[in-house]
Amino acid sequence: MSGTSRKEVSDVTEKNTAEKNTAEKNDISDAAQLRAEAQQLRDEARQMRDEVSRMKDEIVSERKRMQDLKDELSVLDDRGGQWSDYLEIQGLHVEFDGFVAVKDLNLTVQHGDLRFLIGPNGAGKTTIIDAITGLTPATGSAKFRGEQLLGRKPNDIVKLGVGRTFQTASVVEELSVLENLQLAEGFRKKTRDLFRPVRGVSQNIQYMMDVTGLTADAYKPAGILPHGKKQWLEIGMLLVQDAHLLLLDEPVAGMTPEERQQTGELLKRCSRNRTVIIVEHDMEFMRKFADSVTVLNQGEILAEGSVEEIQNNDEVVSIYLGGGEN
Amino acid sequence: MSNGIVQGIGSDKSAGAVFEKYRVWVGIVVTVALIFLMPAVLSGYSLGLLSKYLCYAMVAVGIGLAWGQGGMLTLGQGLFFGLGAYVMAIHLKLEELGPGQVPDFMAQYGITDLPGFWDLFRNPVVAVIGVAVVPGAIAAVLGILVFGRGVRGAYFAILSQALVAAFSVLLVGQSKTTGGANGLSDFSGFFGYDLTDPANKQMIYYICAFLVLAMVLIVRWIRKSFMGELIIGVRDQENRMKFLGYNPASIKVFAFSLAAMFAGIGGAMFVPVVGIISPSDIGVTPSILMLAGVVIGGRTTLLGPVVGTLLIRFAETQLSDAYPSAWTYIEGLIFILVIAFAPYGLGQAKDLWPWLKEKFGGGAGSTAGDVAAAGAVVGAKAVEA
Amino acid sequence: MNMLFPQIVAGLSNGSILLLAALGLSLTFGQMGVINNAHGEFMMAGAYTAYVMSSLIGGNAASLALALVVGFVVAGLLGLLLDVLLLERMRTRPLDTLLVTFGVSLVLQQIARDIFGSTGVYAQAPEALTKPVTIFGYSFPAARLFIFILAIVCVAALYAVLKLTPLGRQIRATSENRDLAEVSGISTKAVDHVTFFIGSGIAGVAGVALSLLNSISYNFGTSFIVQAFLVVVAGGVGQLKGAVIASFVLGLCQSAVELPTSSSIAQMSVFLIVVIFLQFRPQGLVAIRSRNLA
Repeated sequence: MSGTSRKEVSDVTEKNTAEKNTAEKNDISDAAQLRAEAQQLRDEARQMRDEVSRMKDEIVSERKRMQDLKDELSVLDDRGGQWSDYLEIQGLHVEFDGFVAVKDLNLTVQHGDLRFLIGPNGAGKTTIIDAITGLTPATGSAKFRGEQLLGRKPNDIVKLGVGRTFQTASVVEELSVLENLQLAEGFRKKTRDLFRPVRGVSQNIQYMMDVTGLTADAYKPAGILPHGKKQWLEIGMLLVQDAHLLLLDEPVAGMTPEERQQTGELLKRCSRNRTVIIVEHDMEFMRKFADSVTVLNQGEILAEGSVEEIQNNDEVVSIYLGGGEN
Repeated sequence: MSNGIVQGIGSDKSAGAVFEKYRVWVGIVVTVALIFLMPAVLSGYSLGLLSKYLCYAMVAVGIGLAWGQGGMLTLGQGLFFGLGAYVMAIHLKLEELGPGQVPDFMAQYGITDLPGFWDLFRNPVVAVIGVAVVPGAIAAVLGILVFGRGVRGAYFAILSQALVAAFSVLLVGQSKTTGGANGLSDFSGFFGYDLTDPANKQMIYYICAFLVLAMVLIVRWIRKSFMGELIIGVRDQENRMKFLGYNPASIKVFAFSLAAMFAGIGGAMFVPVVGIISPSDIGVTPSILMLAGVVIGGRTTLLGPVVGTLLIRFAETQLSDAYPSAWTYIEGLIFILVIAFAPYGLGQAKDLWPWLKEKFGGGAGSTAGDVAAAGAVVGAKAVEA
Repeated sequence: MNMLFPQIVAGLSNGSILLLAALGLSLTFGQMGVINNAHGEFMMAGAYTAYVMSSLIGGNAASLALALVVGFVVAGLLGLLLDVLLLERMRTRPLDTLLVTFGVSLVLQQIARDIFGSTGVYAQAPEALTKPVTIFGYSFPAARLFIFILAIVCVAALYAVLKLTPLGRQIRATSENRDLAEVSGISTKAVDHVTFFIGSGIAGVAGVALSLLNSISYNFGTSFIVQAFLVVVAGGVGQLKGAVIASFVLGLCQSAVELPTSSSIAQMSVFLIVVIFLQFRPQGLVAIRSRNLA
């Protein structure tokens, strides 16, 4: 607008110098116009600044909303767990062809506990897990959430919320990480749904992959994962399976120190709202992460208590020093 | 952020799935076109041979599912093939006979009343259902007994072999009611259609071809579904699957019974195509030879069993008459060389490229490493299978 | 008693035949996990050895004794060759050995057909073995008695080798824990070869012995192999004791069913007995408990 008017002005000057005064007046009004223009630009700038700050606020609130969503998701982690979800073993007895592997054992593990089972080889640690997951026949009683576990088939015990891992990582190596997790999730499917393709990634699995740090490996065959990640996948499978009693057989064997640390933290987190029992030989790992410890020897409980209590127990020390533990 | 990765890969995968779907339709259209083309280019005799190969291909599709996917090395598919075939043969025999009549061989033994299991299959509907249901049911019973007790691997293979051996001996032994070693032959009609008429032969060819296509599609559907993952899971980690809340036995029984039904249907079609079924078609050796095409084509692939079976049966017809001795050596060497050196058969061909690249291209970096690792996994799998 | 006794004798005789056929299988399947479908053809090799020996020397005790030794070596070498050329590379996938050895059996059968023709031949037995002998007043074919004794001798010899010799210790160590055996200084590869040699050699001996009863043709082995496998399955993997018991139990069952019915029904019942038996003992008669998941 101003440009055009200035051009008009110069045209007029050329044609008629007598009208100079008018031209000067025009100059003055021109300056005023420019000032107004500047003011306008300043206003615009202010508006933009306001907008930027509003957007900043929006980003902040969006971030907060995402955090809220994440927190909401993390509730998944805490699903269903309540104080009554505890394991109570009474008079558990396992015998192999006359050899008593577990002798009238009583053991209670509370909800929210991270319990370590330690003891020399042949103490019956793994046998206890085998017995309560239906792999090995046993007498006595083992109740989780008030449901008797003994005498049931392994696949029925899983449905009661009991999950376990094995000493050797046993994932389906040919299937991808995601498919392994889907296997772990799928046991509640109706027969009809078994014949449908699995589409997409469920929220549950996505979250658990995040928790176990396997998201980037989702589509890799499980067989090419390094040992540590295979164990994490196993733990992830237990979580996806919605197990509330987690039984882990030497989960950190063969792991690097960093992997141990991460596994420990993961298990600590899992145990917040679950019952976790770990069979382990790694004392360092136990000291770092155990809430409580049960020491077994020859199928019987030798001592039970916190890490300090166990470390100060003379009998335990003598077994470990005298018994020639690995 | 990591969620984004998952979604990113997820959408890639669904794009792949779209392509996959598209590819399948192309495959089906091409296959159907080929099926209709064959009668135009082949003589009636060759078409009959092709129909016979297709019957064996049906068995192979089932073996691919049970063995390739499910890890159940069944050496006894001849049993199910035979059951389907004998049900069909009994029905076709009865079609020719009036009420109260008995087949010639029975008359020779002086039998005047039809045995009960013959009469059962007089009704065409019962016979058609029977060719699939009888083998399926027997496989289910055997599967429940065997898999239910955790018997697997070599034990299962041996039991399936023993069963088919006992079955063929039983057929020979009970010659008064089964035709014995001669089997059942000389069928004139197929559900009222004259079997000597070339048009009807062509119709039987179409039935065989579309049955194979249908079976391949069924197996493809299973492989793509969650059941496919379950079957692989049971193959590689049977006991682990129990601790994931599944009953491995029921998954195995399902796959094995389906394979048995396919074999039974293959056997049933074999009867009108070839015109004879006898114990020598279904004994121990014929049963293992039913695996040959699967071995060559690639046990873990979808189409390998069909392609391999058609190839090997074609080769058999070409060579076995002219050079019977040489053909047996070839057959033996196929089992030896393929299983020992290329256990995944032609299905392995696609692995050849990365292997060559790694070996000669010096392909460094993570890709080669991944391929090697994947190869190691595949190898390790073979171990457990 | 009068009815029962000949039946028991027939059963024991059947059992000893099964045992001879299954003994080598039990060793190779049990100790090495190899399912040797060509075992029957190794028996055939032994049988043809007996035929060649009796044609060269004549049907006398010397030719039979020589045939037993040569048959052992011939079949053993065939087994060794098979192990070195093929099976060695397949240790990690035992199920596939079943199909590879099936291929080998096809080839061996065809070789036999090309050399000896398709029609059956007879190995001339020593005079003494063609006559019946009388036991407790019952007449009994001498050849069957010979087979029975031979089966017992073979079991005893194998047992002695496994339990008493350093070689036997190495074989058992390898089958129990291959890795541990390897680090203990045992060459598991060599042990496997020797095990396979012995197991296949026993098949050769079985073939020589059974040529006394049957005509010899290219499919000589196929009539024994399926039942021999059943014996190994029912007996439990790697258990000599199990194989012995299973052989005689199945032999007795077979003759008990066969007498009132027919041999085809007997064969079916033997199969059913094994399947039903596995309902109670899925690991076979003699099983070792293991805490392994697999």
